Amino acid sequence: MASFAEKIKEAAKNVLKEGLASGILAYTKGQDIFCERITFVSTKDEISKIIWPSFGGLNPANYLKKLKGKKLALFAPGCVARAVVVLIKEGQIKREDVFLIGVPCPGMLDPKKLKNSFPQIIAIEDDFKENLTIKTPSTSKNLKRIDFLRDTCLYCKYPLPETYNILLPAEGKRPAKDPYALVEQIEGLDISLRSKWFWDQFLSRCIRCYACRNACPLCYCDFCFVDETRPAWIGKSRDPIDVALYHLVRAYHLAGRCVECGACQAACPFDIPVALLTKKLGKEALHAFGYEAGLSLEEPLLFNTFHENDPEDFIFTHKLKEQGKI
Amino acid sequence: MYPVPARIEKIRVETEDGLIKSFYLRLLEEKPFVHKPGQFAMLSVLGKGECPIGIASSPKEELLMFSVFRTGLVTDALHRLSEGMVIGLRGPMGNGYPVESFCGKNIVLIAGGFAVTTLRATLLYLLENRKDFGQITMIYGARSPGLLLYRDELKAWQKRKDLNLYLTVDREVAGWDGLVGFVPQITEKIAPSGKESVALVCGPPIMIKFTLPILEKLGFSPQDIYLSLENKMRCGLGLCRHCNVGPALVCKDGPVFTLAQLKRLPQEY
Amino acid sequence: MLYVLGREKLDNWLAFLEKKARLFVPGKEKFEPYQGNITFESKPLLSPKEFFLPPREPMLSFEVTPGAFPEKLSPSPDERIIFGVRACDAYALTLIKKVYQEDVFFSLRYKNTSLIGKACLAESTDCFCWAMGIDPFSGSGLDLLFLEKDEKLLLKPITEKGKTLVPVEAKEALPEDKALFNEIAKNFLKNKNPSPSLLRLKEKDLMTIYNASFWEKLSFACLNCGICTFLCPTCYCFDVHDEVVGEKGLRIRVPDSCMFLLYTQHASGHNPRRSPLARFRNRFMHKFKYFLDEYGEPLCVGCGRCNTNCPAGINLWEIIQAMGEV
Repeated sequence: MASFAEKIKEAAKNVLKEGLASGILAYTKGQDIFCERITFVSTKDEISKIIWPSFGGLNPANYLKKLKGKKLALFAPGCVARAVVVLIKEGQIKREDVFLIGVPCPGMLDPKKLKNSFPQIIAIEDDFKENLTIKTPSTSKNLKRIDFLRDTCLYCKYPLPETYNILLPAEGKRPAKDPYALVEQIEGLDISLRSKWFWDQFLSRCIRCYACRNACPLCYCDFCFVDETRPAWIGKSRDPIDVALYHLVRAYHLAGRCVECGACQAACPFDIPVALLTKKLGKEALHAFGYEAGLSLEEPLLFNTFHENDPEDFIFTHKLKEQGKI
Repeated sequence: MYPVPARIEKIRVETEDGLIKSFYLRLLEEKPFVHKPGQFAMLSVLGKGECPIGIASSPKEELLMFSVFRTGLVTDALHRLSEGMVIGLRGPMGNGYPVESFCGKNIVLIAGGFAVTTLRATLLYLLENRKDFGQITMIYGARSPGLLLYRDELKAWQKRKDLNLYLTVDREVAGWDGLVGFVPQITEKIAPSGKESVALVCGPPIMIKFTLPILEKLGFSPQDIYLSLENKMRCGLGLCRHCNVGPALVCKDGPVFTLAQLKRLPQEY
Repeated sequence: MLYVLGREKLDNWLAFLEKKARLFVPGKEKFEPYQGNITFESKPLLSPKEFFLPPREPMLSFEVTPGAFPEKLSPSPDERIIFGVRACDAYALTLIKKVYQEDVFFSLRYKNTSLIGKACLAESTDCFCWAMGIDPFSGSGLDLLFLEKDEKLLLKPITEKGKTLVPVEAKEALPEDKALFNEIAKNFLKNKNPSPSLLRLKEKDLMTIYNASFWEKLSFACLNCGICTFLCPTCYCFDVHDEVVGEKGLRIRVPDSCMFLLYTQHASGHNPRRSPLARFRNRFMHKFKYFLDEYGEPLCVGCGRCNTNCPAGINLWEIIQAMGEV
């Protein structure tokens, strides 16, 4: 039975051999054991470097903007496929320019969770199913992957991609039973505790590095709102008001578009729960409009569409007249 | 460095499209301000920011003059100000033209569009010290007659015997009886010799691109061709590094560079 | 001159220092005001650079009325002591000082701050000060260096100010303590030499490195966020911003990153470093060639924060080696 990593390499080899794409966005080793790098692999010799990441974090769909004009293959767990679907629907790429190798995702590990429990890890063995072995200078320990998964992966609704060209014959994790648990935890706090949470997690720590924005496959604007000077919507410093505005406005720009890949939170050096803000808005979009981003190529985009049974009725003049509003 | 207050004594609209205005400033502090031609200053508008503008007045003139093209946040704010208002100024900054080394040489000034500003300062300096220099030739072109700066001064300069001033516009226009043609072509026609000469070239990148080969053909060596670079700046003091072109900082090692220096730098401008 | 202090007297020492000036000790993410307890885990994510090139440096204060003269601002003259600084971070400040010696804000803060360094004893796989030519036991950049071993603290004042930071309970060290200190210092650098790449970089022609073909591959994964620049103890670029609230305004200096799109963008829209590759290349050319050529040493102290925290898997050593071997 081929290992996960072997299946990945085999799929990549096939894509190149059969000319299905000019190259593959795949993972290779990064600077240390906790971080892998997304690389554009276009020759047979580079295939041996391809790995499946234990920690992953970033979304390969984010790199499509660097490779415009090329036909590309991507390894697509659920969130990557969703991101590609949203990019196609938003006119950023064409469906025929992407070859999706669907991957039933085993979930990615959180290096911070591991490092917090075991500060001196020197090696990791990951079976991409349930088990994980870590080695420190003095010992070796067997752990359960589920205890160290990234929060976004733990609460992921779509580990299996809905859209793909071929599907890797592997088993991934099951969808989370309670996907909005962390969101509901914050929602359940009273306002003063929620404010404290926002201050402790975001406002007192964010250094405005924009790693969250730059890692997001859906933040592709040529000119971001933070860069505008006439008018300057927000300031550039770490002033808590500007930090708050940055995160809140960005979350709203992703409402109904976020594919919950967690790249934003994975990129953050302070592990600020950025993905939670967009997940909250994703929950709102689901409850208000029955919509989740990136699941169907046919379904029109949320904010381009108006349905008669949408909660707000202000677009219909006859309804407004009935209500005596105009 | 903190900005020094400066009052706008006069504003003159230079071009017929109103996009370039000349601001005549009087410093409101006793600090002496001695500049070399080619240097610039940071003009500060409180609440908006600062922008680096070449000093268009010569060191001997009473008021500091800056010709500002309206293009971004700060230049737009400057254009909305009126005479009598006070702005801030930090300067002089940059290296300026090494005019002492030009003594005894022929000088060729080549200006395109609104890059003529610091060459005005340079020309006035040269005329003030006329006997130190050989032949002075100036070739200045704009897209149309209405886009030429300093038009009344140009008329006076054309009458001078100790200066060869050639004005040109890109295309034939009714009422214009001067030269017609792009600056590089006019330079080729006038063909100033590169022997014992220096050339100071200021203009849009495309003009520079086509003028340089002509100058090299005329015998100017790369050490004797001077260009003035522009780049995004913030501090003007060599600290913030926004203006870097490879290892050189436009605010400290420039804005004036010889072609020989630029050939050794990455083309990040 | 070397002093010895029992480890149990550390709290007394800190109390003594706290009476002299505002005292800061290392936290997990940044240096924090001393509040009675201290832990020496790893380097804080944010280096002590934050005390000298702070996140907000107000320079001018003004009323937004035409003709108003601004008020010149300068940093607080209050003295500060930063305790538990690593040698790399302290040395970084001496590198910044080479450029910032005339700067009023940096100089005043540097004059008012004392740095007490803790010697690194445990091997870390993350950092490599010696590879950048730094001897962490020389105390360069520190006012006082102390070493913790066998329940003893060995204190070595480096500057005149450092001598005043030695508590009265400290005794002159005995010859065996001095020998211990010297041996530890010598052993640390055993088999740890400056990277040969640095010599190669000094000798290589600038444009050869600039025009090399490896930049495309190495910069591909880069997100062009600001993590490396903001966490780096030697990066010093800043932006200037006018912030206006109602009738009052402040002109402030904030950290900026050469990785951002707007870094070199002109008001006209022209951008000499538009591509992500150009900005990536510019950063490493500055650190390992331009600064090296001008000052004889690289603008890097080997703290490793960029490598450890890069979310895109970029390996600094791959870049340095490629630059040195082109």
